[in-house]
Amino acid sequence: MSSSSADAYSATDSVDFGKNLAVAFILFGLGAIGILIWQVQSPIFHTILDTSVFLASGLIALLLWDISKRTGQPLAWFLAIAFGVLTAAELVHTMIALEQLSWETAAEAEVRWRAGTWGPSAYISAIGVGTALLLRVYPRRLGGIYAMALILLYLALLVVFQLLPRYMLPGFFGITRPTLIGVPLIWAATSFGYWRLEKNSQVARAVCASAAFLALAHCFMLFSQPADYPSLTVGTGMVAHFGKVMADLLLLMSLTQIGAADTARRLRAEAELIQLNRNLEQRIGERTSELVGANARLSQALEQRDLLLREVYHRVKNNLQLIDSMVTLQVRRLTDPDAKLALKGLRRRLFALGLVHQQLMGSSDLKTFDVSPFLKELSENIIEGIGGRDISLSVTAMPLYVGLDFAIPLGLLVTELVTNSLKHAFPDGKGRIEVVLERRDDGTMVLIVSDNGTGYDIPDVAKKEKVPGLGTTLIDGLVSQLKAVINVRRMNGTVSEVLFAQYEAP
Amino acid sequence: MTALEKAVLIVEDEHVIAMGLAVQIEDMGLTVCGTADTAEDAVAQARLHRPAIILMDVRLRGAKDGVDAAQAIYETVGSKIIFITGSREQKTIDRINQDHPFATLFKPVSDRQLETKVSEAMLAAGQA
Repeated sequence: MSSSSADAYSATDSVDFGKNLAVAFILFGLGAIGILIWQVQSPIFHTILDTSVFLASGLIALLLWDISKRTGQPLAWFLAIAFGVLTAAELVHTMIALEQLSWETAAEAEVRWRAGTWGPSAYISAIGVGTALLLRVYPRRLGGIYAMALILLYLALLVVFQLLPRYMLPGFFGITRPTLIGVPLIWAATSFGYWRLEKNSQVARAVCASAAFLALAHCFMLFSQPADYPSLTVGTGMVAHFGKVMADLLLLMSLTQIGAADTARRLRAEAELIQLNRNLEQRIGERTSELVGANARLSQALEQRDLLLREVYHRVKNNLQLIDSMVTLQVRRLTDPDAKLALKGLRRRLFALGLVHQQLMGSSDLKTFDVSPFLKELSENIIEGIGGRDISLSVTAMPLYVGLDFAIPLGLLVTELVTNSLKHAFPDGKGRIEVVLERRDDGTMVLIVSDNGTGYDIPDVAKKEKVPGLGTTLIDGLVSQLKAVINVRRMNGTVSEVLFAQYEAP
Repeated sequence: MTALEKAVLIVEDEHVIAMGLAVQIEDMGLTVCGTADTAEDAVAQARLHRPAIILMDVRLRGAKDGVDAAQAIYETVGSKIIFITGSREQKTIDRINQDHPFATLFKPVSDRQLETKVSEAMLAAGQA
């Protein structure tokens, strides 16, 4: 909630000050006519009105103080101080007339004290409310000094009004109390000031209306006379008193209405907030269900993709098996042993391709699989297919997740290298083959296929020493596809070392 | 239950693959008593020939698959069934394992794998 600015009281639920003013004027008019017709001048009525003004001022002071505390408005704060001082002044005016407090006769007290304390409180209230407007731009901590200044001014006015005559014979315009002529003027100026300078503050609007009313009410006081004065206009003083009561009641009512309007506004705002919250929750609910739906569709799409990929791998594998079966059937019809061997070599290569797809189908993401068990199964199959049971195999591969693009050339390369060892290294059919895939300390990945056989040479394709076999050609192509370099050396057999320049995990 | 024949029934919906398998079986010195490409045909031929071994593909033509056929054959004939499957899905493997398979081979099946399992099955069937 915004505080500290006059805007706290500006909004749609404003108080109709014009209507308040009109009602107050009508009531005042009726009361004034009654007082003047019946010439009401009794001390008891006088005391009732004085007491009412005192109580109303006190209530206004408390209300303004409360508003200022709640909203931080400096204007309400200085107004509260002005009304506080005024309340004290009104108390003096009310109490001084009581016989118990008087040390003179009732008639003397009436003129000396009642009439003598009206002026100071009338001036102090008009000046106080007026200066509060001028002080509204200053911090609230000036309140103490302001209160002291008002009290001192009041005391000074008390002295001055004791020295000045209370009543005079009717003079200019029939005015009997010229010393009070400043009061309606100050109230009128104050009302105008509040009207012009604080357009956005409802408190200021209420004060403005009340000040206008007081300007009028105090005009009647200019014609007030003591009870024993012969005059046609008996009761003007009481009209002024009644006007003061009405003005205070008008201000009280307006301030109360401001509070009520605030409450109404707050209740409506709360209701709107609740509705907004409800709408928000509904929208969140809708969004959530939309997201849940989208999620479900996405996972469905993912499942669909998995299903399709599996299907594709399955088909590829099936086709490879189909080719393998045809090769098997062809082998049976051939008589040439070289041709049969060539086709068996082809079947080994087909098996390597099929195995890659089998591994992919078993992987959770259908994209990558651990190369280690793959190399083991691949090598075992080759040895079982060609060698006897006297060839021992050891496969030591680091765990490495590879995709199709890497696994196929790697699988084919291992197939060729192991096949070479089996074919050439062991004339007596006994021996040992090792397959190693590891990463060296410098980060290079290396594949080593070694045997402990008699040793053989891989013919250099570039030098065209002799027409190379299919295996040799394949090794050459696969190594270059893998961006690798192959070194073959003899060391207790043959060691083929394939160094991968760089390998990026898929 | 009368004795089983020392023969192999091949259940496979791809005829060329069935022929390839037949050659491999014959190369082992065994007899292929027939090939079937549907579950119904597989059950009928199994009852007719009473083979010691059945090579059973999971995917077949028609509504029923190799697992359905194997169940029926296990209950009536009692042949040793070697599944050959292209799938590695756990769902399929679980279904196969409910059907008392003698062995399960995953495509691609190497010659040596096939030979090993077939001779083991023959031994188990008392036909070695």
